[in-house]
Amino acid sequence: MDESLRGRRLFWSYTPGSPRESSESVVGNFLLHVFPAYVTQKGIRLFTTFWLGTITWVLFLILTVSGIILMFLYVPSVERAYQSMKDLEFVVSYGPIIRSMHRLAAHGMVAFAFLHLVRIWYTKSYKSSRTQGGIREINWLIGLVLFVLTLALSYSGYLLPWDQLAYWAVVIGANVAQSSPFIGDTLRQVLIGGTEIGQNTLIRFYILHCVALPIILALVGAYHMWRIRRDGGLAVTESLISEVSAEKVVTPSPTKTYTLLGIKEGTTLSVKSSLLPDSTLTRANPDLILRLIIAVLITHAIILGFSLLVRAPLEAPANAWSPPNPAKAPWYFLWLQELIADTTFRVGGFVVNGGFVGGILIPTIVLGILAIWPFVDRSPDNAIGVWFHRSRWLQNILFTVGALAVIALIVVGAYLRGPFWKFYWFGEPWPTVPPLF
Amino acid sequence: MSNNESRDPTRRSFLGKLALGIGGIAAAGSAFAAIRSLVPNVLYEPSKRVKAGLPEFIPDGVTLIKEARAYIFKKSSEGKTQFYCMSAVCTHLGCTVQYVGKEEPQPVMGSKPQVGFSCPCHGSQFTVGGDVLAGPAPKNLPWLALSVSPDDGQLVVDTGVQVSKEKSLLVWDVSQQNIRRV
Repeated sequence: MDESLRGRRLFWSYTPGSPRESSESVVGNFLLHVFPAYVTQKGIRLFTTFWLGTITWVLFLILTVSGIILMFLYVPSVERAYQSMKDLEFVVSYGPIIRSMHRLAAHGMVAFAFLHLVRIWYTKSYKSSRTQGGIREINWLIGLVLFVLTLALSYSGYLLPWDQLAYWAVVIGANVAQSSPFIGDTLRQVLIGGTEIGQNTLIRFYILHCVALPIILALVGAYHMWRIRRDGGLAVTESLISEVSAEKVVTPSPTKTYTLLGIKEGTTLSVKSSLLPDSTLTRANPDLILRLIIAVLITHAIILGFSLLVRAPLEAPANAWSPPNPAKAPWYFLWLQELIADTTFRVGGFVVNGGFVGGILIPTIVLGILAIWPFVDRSPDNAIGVWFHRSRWLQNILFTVGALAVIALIVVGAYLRGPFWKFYWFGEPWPTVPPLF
Repeated sequence: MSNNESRDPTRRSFLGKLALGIGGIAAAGSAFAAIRSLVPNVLYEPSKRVKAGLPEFIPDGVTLIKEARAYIFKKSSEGKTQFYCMSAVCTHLGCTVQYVGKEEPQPVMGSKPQVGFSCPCHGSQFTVGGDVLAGPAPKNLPWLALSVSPDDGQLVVDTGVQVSKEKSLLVWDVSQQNIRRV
């Protein structure tokens, strides 16, 4: 056998020599069979997706692997959690790098999940055309669930070091939960396992972060990816499918349903996409898979590279009496912190806590608007899969304004808030504040 | 046929419904047990009653009793000493407020609308009397019950009992104390 092919044989059944062999290599390989044998040429272009969803998924893989390593080195106890962070930083070989990778990948996952959402919006990829039978709206909703899960994982994750940032984030989070009407007190008690923050709280967030949330995220994420195929591929293929099915009569084949165990009947989009002319298609092996491998390797290399330069911060050990001043959340929660600090409103003697308005009500409304938007979006079908389609200029402006407002709140929280959460302009020196005790 | 079934259940339909019912009850029961088990019945938490030290050793002015997360005010005049106690837990989202007042506190009478306490998390501001001045805090800082421990004469802050301002006042007279110090 050729020397250069020996390594390939470990992973791939064989190097495809013909289109048919290429297809079979995808179908017959356990790791590759989640892909279709053929994908559209449009779909794998860089400017179609910028691979944002793929990168998010790769970051989740990095988080899973580095997280498992960290689990060997971390003790979820109030007395020892902080100590194991110090051990990671100063005693464990390559500990700072692994921890930094985990943190950077977590920040990256939030950022890329958001960018992915932005891409979906600007290309109207949350919608299927009215005639084709796909329901991309479902995947949009699942994506929002995944985004919330990502934020929940981030939140439960930065609690575990049990430093000042962690402790006071739990205090704020638990009290935001408590500020919700009717069920507030019970919710807080279930969340922190008592009336005060302690060992019960830490073990709860540990289980959430290491077991419950990752499993849910992996399952929902798998469904998210399966639905891409269920809905006929990326939104950019929608126009191709429309052209084809306008010309040809679609004859469903019983073996081509791609529904779960064939339980559901009827024609799915996969049948129609199988009618696409060969000139628009390309082989998944190697064209898609090669690009995927590049995405995996580059993402990993960048995360590793930055983790060599950037150390993950660790604040002072948790002090149950004295919060840092100012106490700031990580950047992806700063807009919520800013909202929480500004939204308490008083009508006569009636007061609603900003913790509820900014921490629960406004995020729920934002999510709700995002969730129903695809169903009220009445722009023409030929906008699907097209960047900044002219018919959607108003929607795009509205979305941009909303996203910029969130970013502006983050900037205010990050740079313009000083001790006692007072407003200080860029470069304005902060006064020195004596410690609480 | 379905009309027939609903009027006159066959053995098959009856068993089907029975199985669904039992399965449903079992699922609901398990779910309830799982959630209920997460609400603790016994709390191994520190006591809400915290000893703050002997009254004569608490300095005049404002003192943070950190274990209680409360401030004690002390004002001595004409042989009598007055104590007040106010929670340091911000009513917004529970951070510890910090004393930033510059002048001598006038806790009950004539609280001037000047910032006495400020919260580092979201910037709520309170007067020295604990009334909300600015920021997101929805309620005034509560005043806490204060007593003298009968066994060693230390001040005891009860963080679990909120009282009105007048009842928080504790007048302490050295001559009236007949507690044996150990």
